[in-house]
Amino acid sequence: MRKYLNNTRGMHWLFMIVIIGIAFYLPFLIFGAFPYNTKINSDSDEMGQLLEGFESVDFYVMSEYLTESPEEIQREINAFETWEGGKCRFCHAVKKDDRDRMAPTLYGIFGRPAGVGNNYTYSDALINMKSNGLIWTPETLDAFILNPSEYIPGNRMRVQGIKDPETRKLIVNYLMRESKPIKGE
Amino acid sequence: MENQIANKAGRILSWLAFSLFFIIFINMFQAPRITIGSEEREIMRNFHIVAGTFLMAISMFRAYLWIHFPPQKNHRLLPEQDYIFIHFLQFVLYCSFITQGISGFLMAWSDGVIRFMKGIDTIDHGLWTISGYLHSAFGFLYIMLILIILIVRLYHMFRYRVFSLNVFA
Repeated sequence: MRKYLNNTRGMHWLFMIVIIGIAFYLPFLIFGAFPYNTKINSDSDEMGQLLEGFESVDFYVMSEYLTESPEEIQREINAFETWEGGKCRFCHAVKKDDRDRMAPTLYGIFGRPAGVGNNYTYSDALINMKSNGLIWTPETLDAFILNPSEYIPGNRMRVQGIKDPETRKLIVNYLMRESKPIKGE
Repeated sequence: MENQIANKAGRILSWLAFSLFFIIFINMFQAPRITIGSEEREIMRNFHIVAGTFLMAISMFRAYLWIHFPPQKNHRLLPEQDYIFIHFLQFVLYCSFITQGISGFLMAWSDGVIRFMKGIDTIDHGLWTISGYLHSAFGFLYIMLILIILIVRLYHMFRYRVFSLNVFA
């Protein structure tokens, strides 16, 4: 084996190093994956500053006006969770007890500043949007999922965007219903 | 005599590795499209873990045989360096299957899917993220290696008239 490896030309090793380098870059390039998490992105002081003027706004009040028909709820689930729908559930957790996935959790998303979720390393683009004061509301989220790369250029959500307004509405309604934070948190 | 047995075992293991790889490849394309939390998805994931473990074990054994009984050049028309290059690629392919298995195991373990002892919580999102990234990276590595091996084999066919499309050696 030693003789065999000794006979391997330097060019072969160099070629292999390049291939391995490309392989390690591809999950980032294609899926927007990142190899490690940042445990805490914003402390309570920073959150207080970011939410100045929004403390009293409860976006989840709108969830009380959503229809309770089982068919509509199933349509929302399909839009959020399935491959044929928005595919959102494949990367995002939604409820408090859901296990974190490769994208930030959407628990309590409405009324939250961009780029503050824990256990996730945000792109510089999202961190800039946090500094610019972007708050996730049904409207801003709808605009983001319509065309993520246009709404926040340089972000790592590598999806094409959901062109169908009805599907986007179902996704926002699903989040309004399912990501509602438990009172006092 | 020992060499002959090793060669035969190597051939059988290569075919087993190829078959398992093929099955896992199909599973790998279908499973992510199934809704998270559904029973079908759990079944696909469990199959992925079992088949992946077998592929890792076979690759370990194949790499062991390779180290102790290196393949002998038996194509007169193929230059030494070309022969070494293709086998170097194939050896790295088996190494990538092994590292893929180890990272996959860590990923499942840190996600609480594999447990050894009752009551011991092994969920660690940080480890899951790192091992998941490595699992994905090694996946891309072996896909690229297989494509490169196929291209090099085709080149050998046209340049040296040495016909073999055997990717897994």
